[in-house]
Amino acid sequence: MLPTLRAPFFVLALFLLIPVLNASAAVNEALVRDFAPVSGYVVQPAGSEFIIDLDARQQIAVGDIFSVVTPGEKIVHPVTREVLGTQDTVKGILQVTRIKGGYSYCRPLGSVSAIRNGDVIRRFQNIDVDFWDYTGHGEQLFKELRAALPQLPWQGYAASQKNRPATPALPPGRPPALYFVLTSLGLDVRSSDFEIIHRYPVFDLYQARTAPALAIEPTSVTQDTAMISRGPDPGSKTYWTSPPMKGMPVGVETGDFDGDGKQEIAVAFGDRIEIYRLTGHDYQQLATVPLGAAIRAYHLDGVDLKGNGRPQLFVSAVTNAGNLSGVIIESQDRQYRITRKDIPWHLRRLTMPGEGLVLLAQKMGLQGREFAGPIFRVKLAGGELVEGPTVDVPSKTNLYAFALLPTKGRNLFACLGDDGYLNIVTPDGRIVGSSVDRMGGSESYLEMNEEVSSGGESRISYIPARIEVNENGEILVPVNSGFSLLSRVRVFSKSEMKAMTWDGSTLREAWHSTQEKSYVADFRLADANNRGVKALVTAVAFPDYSPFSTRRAVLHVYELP
Amino acid sequence: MKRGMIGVVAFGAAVALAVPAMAIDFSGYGAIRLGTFWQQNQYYNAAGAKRSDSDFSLDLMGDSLVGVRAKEGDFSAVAELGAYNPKAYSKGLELRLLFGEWNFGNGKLRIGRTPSPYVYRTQQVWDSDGGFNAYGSLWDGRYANIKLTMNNGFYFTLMQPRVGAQANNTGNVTSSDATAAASQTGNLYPTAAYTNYNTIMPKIVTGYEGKLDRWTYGGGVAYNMYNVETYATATANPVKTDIHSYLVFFHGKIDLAPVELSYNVFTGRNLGDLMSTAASAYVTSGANPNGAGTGAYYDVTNKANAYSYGGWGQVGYTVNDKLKLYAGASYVADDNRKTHADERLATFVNAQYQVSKNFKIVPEIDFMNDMTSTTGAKEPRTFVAGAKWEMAF
Repeated sequence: MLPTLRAPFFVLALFLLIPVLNASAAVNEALVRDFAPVSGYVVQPAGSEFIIDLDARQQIAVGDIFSVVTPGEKIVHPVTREVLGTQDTVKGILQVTRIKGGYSYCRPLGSVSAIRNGDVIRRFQNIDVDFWDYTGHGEQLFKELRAALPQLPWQGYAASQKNRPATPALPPGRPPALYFVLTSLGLDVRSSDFEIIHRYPVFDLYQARTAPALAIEPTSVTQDTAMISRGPDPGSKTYWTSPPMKGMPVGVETGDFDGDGKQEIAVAFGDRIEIYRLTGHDYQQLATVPLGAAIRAYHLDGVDLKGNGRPQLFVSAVTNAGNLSGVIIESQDRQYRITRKDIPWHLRRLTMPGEGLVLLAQKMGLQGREFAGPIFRVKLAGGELVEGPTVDVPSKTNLYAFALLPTKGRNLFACLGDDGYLNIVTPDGRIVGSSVDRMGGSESYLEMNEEVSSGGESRISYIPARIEVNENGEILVPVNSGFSLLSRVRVFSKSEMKAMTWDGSTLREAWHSTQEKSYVADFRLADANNRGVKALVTAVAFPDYSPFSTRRAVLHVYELP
Repeated sequence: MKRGMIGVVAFGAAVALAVPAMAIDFSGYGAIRLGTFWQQNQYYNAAGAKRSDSDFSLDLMGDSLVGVRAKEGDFSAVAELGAYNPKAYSKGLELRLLFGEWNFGNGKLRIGRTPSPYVYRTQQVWDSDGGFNAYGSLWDGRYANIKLTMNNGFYFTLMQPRVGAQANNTGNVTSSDATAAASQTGNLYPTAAYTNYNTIMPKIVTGYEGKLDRWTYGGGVAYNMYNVETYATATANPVKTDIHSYLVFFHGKIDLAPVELSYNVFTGRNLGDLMSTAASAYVTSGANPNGAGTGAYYDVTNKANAYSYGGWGQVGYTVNDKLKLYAGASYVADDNRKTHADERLATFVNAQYQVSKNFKIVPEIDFMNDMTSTTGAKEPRTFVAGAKWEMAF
């Protein structure tokens, strides 16, 4: 039985490995972390071993190899006077055998006579590194490893392949070295005694290759730069959480709404819009704009339709009777005001190729059709909103359920289907790719009353979650999950943000945020905290099943990897 | 019945567990509604003396229900089970809705059991969310129909034809035939005088639902025809009469948020013969048990058509997201111009208080006046005060 299973598994693994090897993105951040430079000191001998002053807090692992060095003369750049390094002299080699709290035990590899208490140790320095490729497709990965781990003395790819044995085995007579052994099952890193000290399976490698590019930067080893996948502390530099807000958010938007040169954050709730500003960690509420008792908001977008440099907020809203009744909110004389009401359209901002940010709209249909007619651009003519040219989208796609996905040769659409899957759709409506799992999910809704007057029940129609394509061609979509059989009692209890990429045949995950016990109501990619770089802003609500309590929500701001 | 319920629950559980692996989108829904109403009827005995009868009820409302919606691609379906309406627990659960719908792009084709297209009700909650049943709305239950709705608002419906007050559509079959698959045709013919009711075409309802800015409006016509064969004796030649019924209706809502105005008006001929059930609230002259209305039927004795007109108006006001106020009034008159007109009017006012997202309480006050019957006799006046308690999921 086993042999018959092995063959397909091997083929599958090889198949999975091919895109790994051909991609040009990143290397697994765990791998980068495992081989990051770490320095310490020899504390004292302990029998045949030595104690060093490093432990798990420095993320060392059993099997790690340290050079015991005598720091030599500094290497100083002649122009910048920057210290580039030191001309160290290697006195010995140690390998970690046990890790304790505050210290670790190491065994010597070779002579120990020159090792003294207080000697400087450096991890993986001055140790030859070979890359043995048993797949025949690993050169690209080798290049990326060498770029991601420049401190390691890599042997050349060709030289390594020339010297590698036919099957992975310790060559006789070699001095202490590290061996990166790539097979169809993954990447093993073996120490000088050929024991595996780290293993990166194919799947992990695959994830690594679709991870954000910044993750491969050596500087990303630090705790602050891999926030999307590392589960950071809320108070860290790259992860910020707002004080709690009352209510269920239905949208979030960022922009310099008041023209002061700083970015504001607008959060839409069913009954109001709240405006905040985050500068560094200075967070203040600027305004609250009530929408009135007669309407309930279900979507928020901002776009500078007037061209005055201050984006206007377009709030899609619905009346108690079920009619669309959107409003525009603007900052005028430093006061946020509703400047227009009763917009009878669903509204959404979208980036259109060659046009930039465009305000789109769609009408509500008759007799229970939430969306009807073509999607059209909204223009400003004589101070009035007017219908502009239509946008060609696949049939059965509504205003909120798609994003344009420009690809080489043709334009595609990333669409959230009624069944909850993310689909790649051609303009004529043919689905050419689909996500493995359900994505999206929203608690923002329209209540359709077409059956009520004839004695039926109203129907809850949930608005699709926001779907965006960023400048890297990644499809960003929240993934909210939870279990609910009843349409009126939808409470998502788990969420994350995912970025997906389309490689022409398959949808793959590029990155994802850490999972939370919350519901992502909306998100933005914007310089929300006024630090000059784009961040991921999410408005999330926490699950609450009590029918009498008010939902609690917060804003998260993540720095992107 | 218990086995049936277990089956429904088991099916629901199976569907729920299967959903993550299927492309079908399932969603369940339900509402538990209970009414606590104090009701006082003032009626008149044979001598014309006024009497009164007071009752308090705390009971499940007839529109308590559970249902499931399924959608896959262009097709969708709804199944809904509920408390029997009007309440008769011995009859068990009522199949309220069961239909499938195909969205073919330019419109929808629906087949199954749904309310009639001309039903348009108010926010009145008494009488199981009666909405002015028999007092200005045209509620006649849910029956099988084929409905084609175009995206431009026009619709065309074929429904089972009706033959006036005959509960099983024929006057010459035994009770056991009433549930037979082909109950339109009798197979046991009496030996004495009898009447045949012949139907040859479906009841047709066609209309338009449109929208002009904040004005949502609709209107249409309905037509039903059947033939009556009256046999004086078992061997006599029949006397044949064609009974033509029609209905013209208009309804709509004007959304002036936070105010909304709604209306429903209609007129027609032999509406009792057109409505989908002989036990419809409309043709029994209201939900009042003492009501006696036959004014909307073709008058066989006088060979006279009955003409009806009526309607209702309602105003609503949204105070805030928790509280909405509604008030309405209605009037209906049925007259065959041979006997007295059968008139009715009603009013209500209620406050819909949304305690939480799923829980609503609706205190209400109603007044119904059945005015006079076709004989000219005074009919009851009814005062109602109480509340609906609703949990919807």
